[in-house]
Amino acid sequence: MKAARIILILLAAVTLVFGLSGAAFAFHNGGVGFCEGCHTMHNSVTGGTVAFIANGTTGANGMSSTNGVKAWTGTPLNGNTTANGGASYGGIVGQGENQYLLRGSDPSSTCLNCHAATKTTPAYYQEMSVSTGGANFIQHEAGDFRWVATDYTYTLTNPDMSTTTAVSKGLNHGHAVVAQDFGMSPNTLITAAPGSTVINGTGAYPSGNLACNSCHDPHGAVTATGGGSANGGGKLPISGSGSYGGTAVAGTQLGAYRLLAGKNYDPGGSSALKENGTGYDPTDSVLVGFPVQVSTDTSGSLNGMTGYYNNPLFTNGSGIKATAYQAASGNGQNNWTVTANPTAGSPAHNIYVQGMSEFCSSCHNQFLNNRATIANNTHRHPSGVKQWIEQTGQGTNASGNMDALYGNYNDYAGTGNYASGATGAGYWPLVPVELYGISNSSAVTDTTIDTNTMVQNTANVMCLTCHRAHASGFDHDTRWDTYATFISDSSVDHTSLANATDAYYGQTFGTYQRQLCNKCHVQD
Amino acid sequence: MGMKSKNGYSKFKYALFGAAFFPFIFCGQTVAYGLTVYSLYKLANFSGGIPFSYGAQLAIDEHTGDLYVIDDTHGGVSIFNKHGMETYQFGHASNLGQIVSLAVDKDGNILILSYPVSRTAADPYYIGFCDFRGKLERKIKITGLPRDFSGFLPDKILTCDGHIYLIDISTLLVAQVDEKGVCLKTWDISRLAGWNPATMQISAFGFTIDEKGNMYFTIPTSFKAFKMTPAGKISSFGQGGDGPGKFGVASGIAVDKKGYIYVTDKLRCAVLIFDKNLTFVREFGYRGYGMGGLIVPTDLVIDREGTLYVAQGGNRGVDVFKMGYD
Repeated sequence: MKAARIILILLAAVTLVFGLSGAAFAFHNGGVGFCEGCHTMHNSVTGGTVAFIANGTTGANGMSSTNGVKAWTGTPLNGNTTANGGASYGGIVGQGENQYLLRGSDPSSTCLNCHAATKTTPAYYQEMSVSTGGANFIQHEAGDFRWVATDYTYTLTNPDMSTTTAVSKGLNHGHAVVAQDFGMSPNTLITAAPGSTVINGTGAYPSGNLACNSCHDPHGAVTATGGGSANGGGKLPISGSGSYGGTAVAGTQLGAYRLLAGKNYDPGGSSALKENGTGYDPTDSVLVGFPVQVSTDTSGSLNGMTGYYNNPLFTNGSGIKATAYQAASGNGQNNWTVTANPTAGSPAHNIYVQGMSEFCSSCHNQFLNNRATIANNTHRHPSGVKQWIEQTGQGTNASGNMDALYGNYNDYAGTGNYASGATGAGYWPLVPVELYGISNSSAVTDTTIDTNTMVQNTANVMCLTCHRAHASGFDHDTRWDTYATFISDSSVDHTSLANATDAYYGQTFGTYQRQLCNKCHVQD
Repeated sequence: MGMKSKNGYSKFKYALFGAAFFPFIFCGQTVAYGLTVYSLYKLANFSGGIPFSYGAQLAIDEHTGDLYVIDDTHGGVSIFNKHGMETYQFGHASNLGQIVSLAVDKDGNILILSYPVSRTAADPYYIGFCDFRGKLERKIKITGLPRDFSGFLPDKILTCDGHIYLIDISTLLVAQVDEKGVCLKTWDISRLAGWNPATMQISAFGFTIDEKGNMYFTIPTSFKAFKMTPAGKISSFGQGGDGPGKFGVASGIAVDKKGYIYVTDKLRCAVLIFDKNLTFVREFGYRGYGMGGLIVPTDLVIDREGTLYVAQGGNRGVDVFKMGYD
């Protein structure tokens, strides 16, 4: 009888996991998904065993260990002792897999089993497409990891007018996560995080350790409404995603935005990852335990494919394309008011509230005023909490009604389009700022971030005001091409204009629209 | 497992799992047992196996047995003879644009679906007819699409019975056109199935058509594969799970001449085989680098002689298998 009851319970659990489409569409659902989605319960490769190999020793089949991690001792893969016969990926020794019984060769490969698209096949909440451009090009605010997987060759004209073939390295276009199953190799161009110095007694963050779970906690230990710290249980149940605002069911809490890691997060892996990765533990009392942001994607976690995120080329389920932020062509102005939209309201975009720069500073600490340890920090662009967009002592802006930068941000709609109350003035998702001091649950309905509405003077400049979180079409992961005088001349490879539209996610600009630094620092 | 010599080559024969334990009667259907898979080799050139990585797209010439691989990593198309040796390349020149899919018609023309270099919202793709060297001979523009196909952006091209099929994988819209680009028939699969795109993630991953015009596709988030007849009748098969016959992340799909349906599972790193009654029959493969192992298998095609090609990630290239219908 007891056995029958257990079987019934197991059947019910299986039905809940696999039998209902809703469960299928919310694998993480704000917290940890079902274990077998990412792990094998036992050993998946060749049926061998996982054994511990002590530091500096050599185990079966020539496997060795440098960190005392568990290494695969089954049949060697192609006779190699490390993945692809080269350096170990992600700090994983041996076959590059199974250290955590993962279903990929490394943590990012495991994620990309679901989150990578191919040229003709989209993926659920894809974060890496294969092609630059095309219907399945990643449209999310954070950008497509594909930009870092492609090198862009161009012809450079030298001062003597001779030409040289030059390369804009994809590795310089964003966060080059390591995912060997998907062709993403360790960054050989930038071997440590820029701006990364000694944190918590360890060295700069090594690029070779960069993985999806460096920033995202796949187990969702930290939550949006209940806080949290480090890995572990003992917290209120997570009843849903924290990416879309809203309120948790009584007695439960919501997960963190996009499962971003929180205070004392330990992704496992090498010691460098543990101690120097997203050890998000700022001591600033004003900071929350994790970055706060929400998405205006009203479809929520059930249907990520209808989140347009600024892109007019993306189609919804009915095949309708949005044409948001379409610029009037042929003149110097930008009218980036929404012109057509298949969903109610504006196309989805992120609403940043607070903590993003501090999150980034876990690895890029020298770029943040509060955490930099190097002198001359006054030469650093302000970014982070209380780096108000309104700066006193700068006089008023051109329209004379606000302090300069704050006024500029609100009044600037484009080159030649600058006036108080001008159409399109106010928040621009392509140059986002943080709304400091409101809750993320209310942020999703806060109208101050809508276009044509002034942002508050307490808005913060942040890293993501100018950079994308994942990758972009341009060097240094910037949101716009900082090498082009006019935005319409933007080029992924410094020469061809072919991919620029994709790099701007379909947003187009007037011919003479200049750099978007002008959103705050109007010079045009 | 064991060694077996067959058809002139000595290859590795794999034990098959799942319904192999019930070879005679399965779900009320007589199952064709004795279905065997032999691992042959990787697609190669004179330097050895070619390390195509994740996203490689495959197409087969039904008449010659030539295989076409669109290399997403480096661009361009590689052509292989039926022995798996590369014989030609084309499409690396930017004038063809970004080739996203390819098919071969009954006359041997290579049809490419490409996003042009100067892609615009009004003209985002073209269908090109190329000769056997990949030289573009003419382009066709699609006309006669119904109004509710205004957002149609195909990302896959297939040929069947003299017709060209264009598929928008993201929205499950299918258009059948003639060689001049005139639309003959369309299918809005989500509408036919009664699915609501606002509440259901309908994007497919794999998509193919058999010689009778039946369409087969996978929707990974539903843990299912589907068959749709030309009349629009839709059936699903498969279920989520981690054991033999279950889908982790269903990916590519192909159909052979005997009606067997092959589905790759990129999470479980296996190829699942269903019969024409949509009943699971066998599977093979495991996550690993050894003989018969697969790493993130995605696209697959099978020719009329039962040669099965499976594209993978991890620079594993395209593995070639032979189906034995004993």
